[in-house]
Amino acid sequence: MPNKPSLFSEFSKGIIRENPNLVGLLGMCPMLAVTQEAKNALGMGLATTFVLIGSNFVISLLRKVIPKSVKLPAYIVIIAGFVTLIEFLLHCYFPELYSALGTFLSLITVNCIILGRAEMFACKNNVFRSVLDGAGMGVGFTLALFLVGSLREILGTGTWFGITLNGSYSVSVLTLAPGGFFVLGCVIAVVNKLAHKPAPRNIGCQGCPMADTCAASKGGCSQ
Amino acid sequence: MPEWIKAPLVLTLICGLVSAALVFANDLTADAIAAAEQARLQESLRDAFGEAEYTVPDLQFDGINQVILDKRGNVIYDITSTGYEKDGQHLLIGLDEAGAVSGICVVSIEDSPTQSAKVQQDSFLSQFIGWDAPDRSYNAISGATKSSEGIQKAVALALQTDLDNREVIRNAE
Repeated sequence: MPNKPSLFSEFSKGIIRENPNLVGLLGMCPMLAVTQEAKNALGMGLATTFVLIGSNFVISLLRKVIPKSVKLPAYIVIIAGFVTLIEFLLHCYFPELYSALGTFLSLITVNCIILGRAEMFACKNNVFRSVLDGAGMGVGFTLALFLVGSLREILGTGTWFGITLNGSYSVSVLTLAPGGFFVLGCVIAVVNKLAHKPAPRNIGCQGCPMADTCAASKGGCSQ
Repeated sequence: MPEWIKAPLVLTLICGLVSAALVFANDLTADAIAAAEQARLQESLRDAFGEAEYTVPDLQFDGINQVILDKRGNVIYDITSTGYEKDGQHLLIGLDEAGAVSGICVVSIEDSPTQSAKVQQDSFLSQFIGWDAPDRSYNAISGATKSSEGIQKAVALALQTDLDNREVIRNAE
């Protein structure tokens, strides 16, 4: 049986090597929608991190109790519970951020990073590793959003966190949807250049969602 | 335990526990949220309609959260409207003594940030200023059509309510 990765590796993999946004290309909806300003991007990232850690914790805790047939609805209920909780907290203590994030706050429930980590990791690993995985993925997601948000705000409006840096040379298209795609593309290219080694010759079944249904046990898809 | 009993039982228990946790969280935050909303409403009133003594008479009309009067004869309708998100727009529609729209204030809006920013632009909101009847035409914003519609419906509702109940509202204490 292969050795489990170290706890540090469990946490750090989500930051660059397996960054859910920039390498996994998941969670693109909030990435493009709330990154006109660094402040909103940071708020969305932290809210998602809270939900990721909380849902990974509970799902890992209940992994032996939840029957396979109701796995998905159970995960959605747990995730939606944490999303509602963070909505209450933001509405109560950060009403401006709550208004700025608008409908995308509720849409964290269907963020595929969260459901993906629940299905791929939390339901197969212990609580501590699951929390570390959620925290790492959340930090990676937050950093990606913050980086794109900062670039779009600084270059697009000449401000950062509302502070005017250089308003007279702004490229306002970067605050619009096409600019979002452009900045995101550039950041993905740089991160993949920095993070990626050549693809392995033999690709294993570990982590493949189809592994149970294909002929993996007979060596069918592994080579 | 057979799977056909265990699966729904576990799901029901999870739903129950999550609901209980949310009831607890709601109890803890509801008062603070209401206070924050009230503070924001007062701030919006001051920003949009100036410093004045605002009173809330005991009046109830369909679709209107509350009617706010000021000593200058203006009537402000507090309305929750539906744009992209159901009941996601909280608006204050101000009507002057003659019953024409004198100001619109967006207290909060839960549509996407882009849509929200578009419909809060002066260039969009200013087209409603001076309306004295609910059936006027307006220009919706491309890319924020639903959000534009929500604001237009709120303006029309305020005007219709005012037309139907002008005497009652103006004479209210």
